[in-house]
Amino acid sequence: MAHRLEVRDFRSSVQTKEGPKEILKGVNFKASSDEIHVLMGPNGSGKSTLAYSLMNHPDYSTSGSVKMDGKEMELMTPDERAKEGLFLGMQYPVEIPGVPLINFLRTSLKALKGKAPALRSWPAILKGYMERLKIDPQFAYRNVNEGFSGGEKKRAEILQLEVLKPKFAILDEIDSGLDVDALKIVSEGICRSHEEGCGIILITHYARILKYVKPDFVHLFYKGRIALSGGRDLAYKIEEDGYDGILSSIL
Amino acid sequence: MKGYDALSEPEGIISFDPGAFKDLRKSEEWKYDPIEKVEEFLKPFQPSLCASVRLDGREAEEGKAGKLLSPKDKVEAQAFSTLRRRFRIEIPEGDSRIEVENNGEKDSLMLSLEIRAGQESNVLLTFEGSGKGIYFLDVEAEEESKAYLTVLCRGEGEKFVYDSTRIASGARVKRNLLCMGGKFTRYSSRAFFSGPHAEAEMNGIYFIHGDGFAETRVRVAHAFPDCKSRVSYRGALLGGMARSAWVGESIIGKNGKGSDSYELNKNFVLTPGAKSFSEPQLEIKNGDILAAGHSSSVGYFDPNQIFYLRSRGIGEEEAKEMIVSGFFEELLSQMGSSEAKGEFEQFCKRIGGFNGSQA
Repeated sequence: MAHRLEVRDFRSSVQTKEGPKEILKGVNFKASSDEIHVLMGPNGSGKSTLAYSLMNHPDYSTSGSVKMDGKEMELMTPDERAKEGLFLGMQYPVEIPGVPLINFLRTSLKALKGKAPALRSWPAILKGYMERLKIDPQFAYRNVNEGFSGGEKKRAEILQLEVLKPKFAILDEIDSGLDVDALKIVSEGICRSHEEGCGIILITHYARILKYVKPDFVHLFYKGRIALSGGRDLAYKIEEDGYDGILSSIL
Repeated sequence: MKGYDALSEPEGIISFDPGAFKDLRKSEEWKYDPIEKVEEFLKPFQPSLCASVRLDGREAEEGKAGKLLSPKDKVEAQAFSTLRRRFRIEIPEGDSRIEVENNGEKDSLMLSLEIRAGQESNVLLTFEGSGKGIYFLDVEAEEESKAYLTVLCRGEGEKFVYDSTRIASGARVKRNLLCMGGKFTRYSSRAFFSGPHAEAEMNGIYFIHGDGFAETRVRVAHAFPDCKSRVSYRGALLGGMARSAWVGESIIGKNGKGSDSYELNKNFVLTPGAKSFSEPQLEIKNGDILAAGHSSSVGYFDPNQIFYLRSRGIGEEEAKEMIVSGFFEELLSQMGSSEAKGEFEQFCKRIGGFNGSQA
């Protein structure tokens, strides 16, 4: 059975020197886990704010409703939201010094599923996931994101997506900074997760990833809300006409 | 003394006469210390002789020893003037364990550890117990020896340790220090090379909780050519009244050509209100060195690190534990001492979590 993510009148503010500044001004959308949604929009339109606010990053104050399968998550902490099945693939994943990736992912699995994978079999299981993403298995013993290149960090985010198997993944510019080969590998990982039942909300600036990840819906994000929604064609139209071209015709 | 150099001595007053020193409260070297906690050490005292010293489980024998560098403060000079017990321990090849334990009245003693030329030794030294004490530790690593010394400061008793290490030509000393908990610990290390091509690696971890205080001072003097020193200390403070101070001095003398020196201190303040002072100092007296540098930081939890872990389902408390453990793991793995690692893990279990809101 497909899962449902429903966002209604979702607002988010960030604290500035001049006081709170509202970035998201009432976002509404519904997604099913058997769908791929793509969110595009000019710089500063609030796409990343939406991604981080949906996961309840402490920099943002939010209001509105975020429901997973009808269950309200608005008051939940980030770890509680993760346990409900929400995942955020970050544009700039932070480094966690001294914490090897293999230990971190085992702890995370234990937190999410209530049971850690068996110590003995875990390295081989993780190695299998890493090989699919063409990540050197030795990276499992490196500290989380430490010394990873930009592309390696993105692959490591997809590795986590595949290992943790959430209901919905919000992927914030997961394609930026990737070379053509890495883009294909990352895209394959996203598609595998989707085939296993994970709903995808992909934030991107470029239509090139859509060669591999085929969206069901494309949303144009502008000034803190969804200004236009459409099918795959909208992404190509944006690429062709630019945001200004499209926005001038609808605003 | 062979290889002696004025560089090995700290600047300021150096004397065996306690009267030569001014009031600690006015001394630059004691500016971080809560002197009210150790007022009783400011007056001369007769050692209680309560502390036991065991070498590999057997009572160690007292003997004539002592190549202590001249005292540089009143507490040290006073304790030295009334010192009654000195233990001279010839460290055997391989592993050995020295335990100093005091659960009685205030005591003082001196340990001299000798590592013979060409020898390779791995020593675990523990200071423990609820009793207060002033301990002098003198380490002599002879030519071409290799000494791995792990020092664990445990127990609630207030402690002063004055540690001086001489490293002869071609010798290598790796000293790991762990000061875990305790009300008051002041650990002063002085390492100096008494010949060329020698190496010193001085690592330290301190973890202060409640209203505890720990000050670690480390001074490395390069008075001979082509010597290498690495100083790396990390500390964490849990509890709004916890205090720490770290003072690192690296001094490269006129004869220290080809010296390679680096000192690093990182501090993690886990609770608002806790205070950590870090003071790296570097003095270079010749222009023909290989490298010299230092780095120091005092920081809090990074909210983005906590968020990252929490976004993967890990609860706030556990996320903080992972971050703190990771912070120390980098140095623990560098120490390569299973005892140091075990000590750290035991301590973490005892305090039961690193929640920054804990008082």
